[in-house]
Amino acid sequence: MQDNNLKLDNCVKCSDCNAACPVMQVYPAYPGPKALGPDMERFRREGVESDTEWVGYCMGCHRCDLACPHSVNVSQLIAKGKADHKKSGRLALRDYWLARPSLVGKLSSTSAVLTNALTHFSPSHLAMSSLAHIAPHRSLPNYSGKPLRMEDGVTAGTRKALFFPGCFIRYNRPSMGRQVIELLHRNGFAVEVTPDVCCGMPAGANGDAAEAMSCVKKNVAAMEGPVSAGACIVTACTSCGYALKGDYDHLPSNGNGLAAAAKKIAGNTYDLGQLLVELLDAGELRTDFQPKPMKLAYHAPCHLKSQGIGRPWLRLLRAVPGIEIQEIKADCCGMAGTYGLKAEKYQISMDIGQQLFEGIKAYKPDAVVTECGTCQMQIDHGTGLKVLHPAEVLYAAYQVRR
Amino acid sequence: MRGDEFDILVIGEGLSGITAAAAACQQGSRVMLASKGPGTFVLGTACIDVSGLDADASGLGTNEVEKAISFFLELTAAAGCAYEGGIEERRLVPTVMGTFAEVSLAPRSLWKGDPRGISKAVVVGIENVFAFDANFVAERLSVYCEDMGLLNSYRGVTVRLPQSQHQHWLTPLEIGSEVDRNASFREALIAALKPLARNADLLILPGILGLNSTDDDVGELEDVIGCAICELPTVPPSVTGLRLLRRLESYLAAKGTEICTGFSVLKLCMKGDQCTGAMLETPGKPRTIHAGSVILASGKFSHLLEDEAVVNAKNVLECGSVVGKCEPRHGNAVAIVSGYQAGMLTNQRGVQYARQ
Repeated sequence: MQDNNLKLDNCVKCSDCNAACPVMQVYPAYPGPKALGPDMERFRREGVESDTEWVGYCMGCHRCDLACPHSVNVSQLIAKGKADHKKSGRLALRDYWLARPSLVGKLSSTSAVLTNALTHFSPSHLAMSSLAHIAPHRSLPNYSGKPLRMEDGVTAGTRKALFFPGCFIRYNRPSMGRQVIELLHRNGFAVEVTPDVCCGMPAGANGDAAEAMSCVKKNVAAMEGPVSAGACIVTACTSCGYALKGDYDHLPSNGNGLAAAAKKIAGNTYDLGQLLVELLDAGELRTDFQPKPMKLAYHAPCHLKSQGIGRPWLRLLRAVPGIEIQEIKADCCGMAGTYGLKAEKYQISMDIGQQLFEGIKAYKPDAVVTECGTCQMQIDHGTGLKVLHPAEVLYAAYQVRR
Repeated sequence: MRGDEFDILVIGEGLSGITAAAAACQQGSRVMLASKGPGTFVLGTACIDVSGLDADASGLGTNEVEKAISFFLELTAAAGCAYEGGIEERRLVPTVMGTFAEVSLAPRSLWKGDPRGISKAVVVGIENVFAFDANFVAERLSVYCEDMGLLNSYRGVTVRLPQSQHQHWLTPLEIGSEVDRNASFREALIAALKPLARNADLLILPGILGLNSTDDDVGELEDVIGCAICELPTVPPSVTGLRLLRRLESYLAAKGTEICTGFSVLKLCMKGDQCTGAMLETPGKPRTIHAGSVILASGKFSHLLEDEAVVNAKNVLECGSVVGKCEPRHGNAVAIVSGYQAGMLTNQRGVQYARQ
């Protein structure tokens, strides 16, 4: 998706990216980001064919990008390899659907009861898993019959926010999405909900560059107007947030104005925590919280780290009396969006998460909080503990009555 | 204080930046450590050579050297990655190339490798792990010892571990990760080392004993196998270097330092002759960090040094290789001493600025 012609020659083969890669740590056969990113890009540029079989094992966590002292955008180079890689049969079909969470969401939520029954009834779950090559041990998230819609927005408010819920919140956790809207509204924002278009990250992660670009175009078209009129875009999923900020920031300039418009989107996107903590700093956040005595473990999603905004929710939740919260520092959870759903990657995913699960369990929290929807699924699966979005905790602390 | 307001901003997390941050956060200053990548920890042996360092010529001051080195010894011990040695000490430590390097301080494990304290050492390689050839190292170390008139012997042995069954080469990084994560792998490693330890007073291994382990973990392993262990840093990124960095980072984080890794500094912000902070190149839009003082530990090739106003700003201090000329072997010593000095100075000044 990105224009990455400039940084390749910065790679001096130091292997700092390999040292940071969660997949390499648990799966020695994986060639790693150095080989699949800059090395393979060199072959591509020379027109030399190389084996792209491994690129699908990249999780897209961006840890390699952060580790590189020379600013090589390693993960974007691997994504190029993913786009080139030809898949066949069941895997191609499965990844077609995984690249389109918005379409899956639309179809599933129209018949949510049936979808949820099928995914939770073990024979049909098993049959689907084996047909679609989805890990049979995974329980799939429930779909809501009432996904988040544009009508859920609120018009009263002195400031304008454009809430980009992302597919997971929109279709699987719409009630949490409504809490986000309420949080923003409570703090003076009129909130508009964006149309149901995916951010494009799952498409990129599954090697579908054309679909990713189609998402970008639709989103830019939908958001450019409100942003020009002074609205800020708010995301509550850190992966959507990174996509809008990081991926939209560096589109190749094709002379059609898309890159410039997308850059404007990128520059005006805020993570919900980032926005609320700015209000807190400015003394503008409502802090009429009720005491909430609870012990929380916090996991920082990889795509929060790649946004470089610190840990806003630690500060926000520490502002609530009674909350004891600590970050469990154990790298990646291993889920990486659709990665951990795939049958062939399930074990890798769980091995990566092992240290986090152990760290959380040792801390013995009442609940776990993390911003990313699929991190929530993974931690739930790996620890059996209650996992919440931090916005849900803050919402409860306001004791909002509707 | 607001989220992105700090008393002190340290840029760069090599040895000097980390030492500076540790010195700065001692007395309650709010410190941010911003870096692009893991510094030089993963590249070198992390040994420190102080002998012959002309402190005055490097603008450091002799008393400062003593204070800085004892601060660094305390820091590393508290962080669980202790150093041994001191200004007056000299030891020979082995390298993966089968040579000896003369140093003043070294990580505890390496410090044990001095040939003058041992008689029978076994150099242990692992089958299919590249960048470490036990026989080569043993043979060369033996020759060097003979040249020095020492009677100790080195024997090279290559052991087979469960991971060696893979069809491809393994890196020490992958082995280190197994040590961290896999209890049965650790058992296999212990089972392989125990028989070798019986007739030896030192086992020399490539750096593989985990990326997350502490001195205590290595000490426990030594107790179990009944023999001292010396771990040699391998080709970058070395497990021993990463471990050192992780331990020091955890120590700083526990002391309240905010660590932000992965983003370049776009520019330092100036107001008059004062630096007010920095802009980090974060996705979407830059993140502005406000700071009372700034410590530049960015290495001498940083673009930040091109701006004279920045370099001359009263509240910008430099340390590490930015400071000036020294012999290459003194690089780490200068990093520690200058980092310590910068941290101590801004510690007093930084609090003062924040109060203004």
